Order: sequence, then C-alpha cells, then structure tokens
Amino acid sequence: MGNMGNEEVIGGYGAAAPFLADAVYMAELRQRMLKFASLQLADPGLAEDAVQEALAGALRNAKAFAGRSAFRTWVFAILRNKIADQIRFKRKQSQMIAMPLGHFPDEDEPRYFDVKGHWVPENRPSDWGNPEVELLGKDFWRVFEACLDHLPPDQGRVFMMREFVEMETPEICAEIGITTTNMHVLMHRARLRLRNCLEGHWFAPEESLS
Amino acid sequence: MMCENATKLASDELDRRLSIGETLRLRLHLFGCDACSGFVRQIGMMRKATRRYVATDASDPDER
Repeated sequence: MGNMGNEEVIGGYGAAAPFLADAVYMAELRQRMLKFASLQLADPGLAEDAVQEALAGALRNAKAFAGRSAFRTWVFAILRNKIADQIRFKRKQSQMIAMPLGHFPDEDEPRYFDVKGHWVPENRPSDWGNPEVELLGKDFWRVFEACLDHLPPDQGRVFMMREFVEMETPEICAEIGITTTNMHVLMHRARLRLRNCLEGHWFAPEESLS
Repeated sequence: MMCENATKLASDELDRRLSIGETLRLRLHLFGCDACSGFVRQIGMMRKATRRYVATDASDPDER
C-alpha cells in the first residue's frame, strides 16, 4: 500500500486508478472505513484487520470496479463483507461477549408510552416534513453519527448488524445467540431511541448533544 | 391497538413479514394516528439514511 501514489504501479487498475492514486483521498477513506468498522467490531485490532483486508481486496479486484457506482460505495461493500466475516469468525472463536439470553431489562429505556400505551407528549413524534436523505448536509450526518454512538451497546450492535452490515435476521440471531423475538424487541427500542435522538437534536433541536 | 404495539409492528415490518391480521390492525391504527404514521415514515427514512451513511463521507466536500 506504501507506493500507491506511483502511477505506473496503478496503471492496471482501470476506473479505480484515479482514486487509488490520490493519496489524500485514500488516507481519508481509510480513516472513514476504520471508524465504520470500529462501530461494529469492538476490538480495534479486528477493525484494523477488516479495513486492511477490505483495501487489499479492493486492490486485487480493482478491475471489477466499473465506475458506475461511487468508488467509496464499492469499497464499503467489500468492507461490509469483511466485517460480517469477522463477526462470524469471532463467534467461532468464542471471543464474543455473551449477551444475556432472553432478558433485556427495560428499566433504562426512556419512557415513550404511558401505561395505556399512548405516546407520552414529550416523546411523541412530530412532523419532520419529508426530508430527502440525498439532500441532507454534513451537519445532519454528524448528528446521526452521534445518535448512533448513543445507542446502548446491545441495541447498537444488533442495529448495526441489521442496518449497516445488512445481515438477515436468522443470521444475526444465530451469530449472537438471541431469539428472533429478542432481536425484534432490540430493533424496536433502537429505532425509538434513534428517532428520539434525531428529533431532539436535528429536526427540532432544543438542546445540544451531551 | 395502542401506539406502543403499533410502533412495534411497524418496526417488525422492516425485519419480518407481518401476518395479514397484524397488517390490518397496524394499517387501521395508522389511519387514525398521526404520531404513529409519522413514526413509520421516520423509521423508513432512518433505514435509508443508515444505508446511505456508508456511501457518503461527511468530510468530503465533493459529495455535499
């Protein structure tokens, strides 16, 4: 990876060549990938490995990059697969921190509903308009990221596997040893929490992120 | 159906196929509940955002 700036070396990389040749771009992309991997692999070493392998895979298969999708999207798709591999591998190695089976206390959850199951006024969804995801600016993504970071670990992990790594439900349940029912409960809580956080800090900001 | 169950079904719908009964009960509730209808739109938008998040770089001026 050290001589990536060398035009001759990257000559055979097709549509990916301009990206691979841009050392600044690649350094930023690597940082970005590392951050993404770290969100899902608690061990920094494993996150580093996944990024390294994804970049190596991208280099090896650079000719397969047709330039139709964004280069970044393509590289991240490779990284997602690497992360899914790591998650599976970690489980086989029994290095995974065991999740309490079948019991997810909800005392720590914010109160979204009253005893009758109606929204409590302070957490009732307000109208966000119809924001186009494509048009959201970088300030939004910063808030979004901060809100993700604020998810409790069990919710965050399941949410990340499902929505970022795009693993299917049976696979997630098998990998971390929870029932489908538990997974759906965690997803519900994660969505309620993330929604609340976005509403409080982006769509109707009333206080700053702590 | 109450809002708490409606949001649970709405969330489940993104991860599993609802039964016909569940779908009907959910739609019926949403028909009369603005807050839960908002919730459904918002979690849909959140899914789009999470998937887009991977493909964008907040620090990259080219994409903004």
